[in-house]
Amino acid sequence: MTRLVLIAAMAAAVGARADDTDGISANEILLGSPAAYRGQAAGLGTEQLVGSLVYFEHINRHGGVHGRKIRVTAYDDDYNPKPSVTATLRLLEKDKVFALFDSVGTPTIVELLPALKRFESAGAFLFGNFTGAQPQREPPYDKIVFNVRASYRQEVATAVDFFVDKLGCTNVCGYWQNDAYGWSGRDGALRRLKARGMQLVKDTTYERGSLFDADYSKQVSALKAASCSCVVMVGAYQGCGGMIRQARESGWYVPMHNVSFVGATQMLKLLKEHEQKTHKVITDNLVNTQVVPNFTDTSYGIVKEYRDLRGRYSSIPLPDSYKECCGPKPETWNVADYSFGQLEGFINAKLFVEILQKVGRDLSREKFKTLAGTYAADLGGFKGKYGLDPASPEKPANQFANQVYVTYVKPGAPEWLTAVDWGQVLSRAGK
Amino acid sequence: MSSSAPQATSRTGVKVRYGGLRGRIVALLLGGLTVLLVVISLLAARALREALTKEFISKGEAIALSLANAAEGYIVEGRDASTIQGFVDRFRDIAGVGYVFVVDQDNFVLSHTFQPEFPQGLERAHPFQGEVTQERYTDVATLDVAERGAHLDIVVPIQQRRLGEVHVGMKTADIQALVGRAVGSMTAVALVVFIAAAAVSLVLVGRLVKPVRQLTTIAQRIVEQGDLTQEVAVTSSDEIGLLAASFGALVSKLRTIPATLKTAVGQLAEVVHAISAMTEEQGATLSQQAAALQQTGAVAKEIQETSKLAATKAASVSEVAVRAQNIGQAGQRSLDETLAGLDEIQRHVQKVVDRSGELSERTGQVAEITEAVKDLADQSKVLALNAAIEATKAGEHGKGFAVVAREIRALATQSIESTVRVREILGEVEGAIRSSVESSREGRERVRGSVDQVRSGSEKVRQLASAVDESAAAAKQIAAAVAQQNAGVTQIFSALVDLNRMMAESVKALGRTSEASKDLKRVANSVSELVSSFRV
Repeated sequence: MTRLVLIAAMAAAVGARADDTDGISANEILLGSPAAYRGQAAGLGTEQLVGSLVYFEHINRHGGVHGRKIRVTAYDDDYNPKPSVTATLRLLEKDKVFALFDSVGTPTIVELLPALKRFESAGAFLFGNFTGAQPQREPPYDKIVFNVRASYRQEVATAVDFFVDKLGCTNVCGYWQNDAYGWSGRDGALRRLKARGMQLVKDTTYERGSLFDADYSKQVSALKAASCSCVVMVGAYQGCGGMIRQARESGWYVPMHNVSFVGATQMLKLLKEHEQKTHKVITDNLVNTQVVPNFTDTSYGIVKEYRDLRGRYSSIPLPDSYKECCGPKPETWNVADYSFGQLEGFINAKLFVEILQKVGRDLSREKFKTLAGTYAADLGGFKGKYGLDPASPEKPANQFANQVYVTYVKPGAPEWLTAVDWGQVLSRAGK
Repeated sequence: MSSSAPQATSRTGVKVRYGGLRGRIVALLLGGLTVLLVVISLLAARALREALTKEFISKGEAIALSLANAAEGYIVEGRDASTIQGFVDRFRDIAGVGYVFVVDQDNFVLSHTFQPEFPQGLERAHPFQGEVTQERYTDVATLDVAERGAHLDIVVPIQQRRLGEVHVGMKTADIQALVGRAVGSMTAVALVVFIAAAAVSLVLVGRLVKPVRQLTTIAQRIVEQGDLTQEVAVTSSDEIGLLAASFGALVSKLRTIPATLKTAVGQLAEVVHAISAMTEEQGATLSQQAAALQQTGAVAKEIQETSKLAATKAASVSEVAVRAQNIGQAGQRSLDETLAGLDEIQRHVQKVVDRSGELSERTGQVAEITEAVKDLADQSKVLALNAAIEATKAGEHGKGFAVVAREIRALATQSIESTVRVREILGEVEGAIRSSVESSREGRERVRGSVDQVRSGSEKVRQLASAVDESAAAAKQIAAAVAQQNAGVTQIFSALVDLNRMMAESVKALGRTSEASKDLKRVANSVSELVSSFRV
């Protein structure tokens, strides 16, 4: 409470210096991305940024939005809270960006939000973020954040329902990254299980930043000892991939779930590389919830558009700030050809641009926020709307989409598949 | 410290152990320093540990209170746990924080920092007990958390425990580590001080000890080579300088000693030589004296033997003299009896004469009387014979007596013959009585003469007895004198023995004197050698 009062006081003190029209110039709209671009979480920030940049490139090449091109300044926060605040303050105070865009991570956003809140009076806001945590969906931050994707709470609820209803899992267990992100998932699991009259049988944690090759045997044996029949996992691709590897190598094949943020593509890459090294299948019975359609599923217009533009702008330049922060400068993107992360960034950019276009040339933060607050759209099959939705009471007002997609890995298949028939998920039924 | 240790064994056989004086002083100094540093370190560590524990508790309370404050609103609003976890995350990396967890009123863990899992039962290990008051709103306990060690668990109730509790675990191992690090850096500094102290004290003590070493070297050279030409060149103004100066003075003093000694030894040698010669002479003299004494002893022995023999002889002479006396007396008595017999004869002759007339009548009776006279004469003869024998025994003195005795015997024989003739005459008396009276008268005259002669013989015998008495007395005196002489000889002999013993002792003493003189000579020689071993 004290903290909030302090923040409000500070916001009042410096608010006058920030402006409602920051980041808007005659021919440019400047966005700022505080995210992880290097380190073991580099894939998360970079994939999303690439997806957004592909769409912005497309828009910019076609005259921009009402004559303004969209430019992104990206600062690395190393997926850590304090650099995230540093990046946020720098973007808002020094670079005077129009909005924060495409942040990554829960532990980072819970620190970023109070910093952003100081600039609320100047209209500053965050649009799109690669996290499904609750803080940015709840007061006091619900007015300064525009979430696009569904929340972890929804993802985890979907996973719990899926495990219990479709796979007959009785002992639901958890595995969390030991931070706000993981706890967001834990909170979601606890709520869903409580609603279903069930309990979380056992949960274990791992340290943020743990690598794929680290030792997860304690977590595996703790869960095994509790007779878990399925595991909900909320973490990053290295820590969760490592856990899956160790569980499978110990002969434990229970269905394991991950949320969208895990970086499903990178995780699958690690697991498959390991399979090739050891000639042992470890990708069975894996479920991954996603908040965007499968990037391979071109039945979605949005996926088709993404893949088209991604192919077309495969060599767009990196933002200067990205090079600055994360040199040595890679001349080309060091990212996957296609990924869920890119698609999510692509969707964020597309939704943002659509709202910008609706606002018109006479742009201000307030005008954008006002319009966005109730904006509804169907982005090539990816539908959503801001504002409360009586049809889905779980959806916060500042969250656009509600969809959660369940994907799985078919042994031998190169990529995640969207589950249509639940039965096809279990390749090792009974194990 | 130890660099001098290997060569620090002098040839005097004394081992310089433990690095010598320098090593020991430095060791003592460093030992004291070590003790001081250890004590200071221990005290500092204790004080630091107590202070840090307080600090950690206070830190934990601050975190727990701030978390409880922040969490209260979120719990009331039923907000997502990630918000609380976000707060928890802010504190987990603070130094000393081992864990943070938040439980609700039912002890359900809302948020924690543990991995891989929340330790079983920890949520109930240390609940806040009792009422929250203005003074008491936190509690601390030491909990041993599985695989993580001991923690100071600080519990703060949220809304008086209606909404749960915040627990902050401060790692006691961190306190230890901090203390360890502090002690470590103290130790490092101490080590530097120690090394510096060691170096400085080595140098200082080395400087102190160096003159002592120089003095030792000089002394060793004096001992080994007798080199007294060395100069003591230590010039420091402390006690060691004083020692060095004294040592220098000592050396120069020493230099004069060999010369003095040399002279003295020369004199000593001469004296010894003289003593030796004298001793030899004395020895010879003594030997001669001893031989003479030996001879004297033998002579004394002989004298003693002779003296003893003389004594024996004197005793036997005395004995014989006594016997002679006795015999003399017996002879006297016999003579007296003879005299008395002669008187009787005289009277009878007188009677014969007187009774001449009766004689003829009583011729038979006279024959018988004559017979009796004959018997007497026989006895006299025997007596005379005996007297003669005794006189012979009396030697020179008895010679006269022997003549008398012979005369007596002859007279006795003649008496016998006379009686025989009397008897024959008596036979013829008958016929010749008258003539016989004449003859009796004649006979009476002759007896009268015999009596006179016997009387004078008796006188002579008496004289002989007295001579014999005198002779016996003389013999006794001789024996006594001989006995006295014998005692004197014995005394001489024992004196000789004493003398002899004393002589032997003198010889022995002389031998010892000789030995002593030889020793003296040897000593003189070695002193001389010693003196010659010094170089001055």
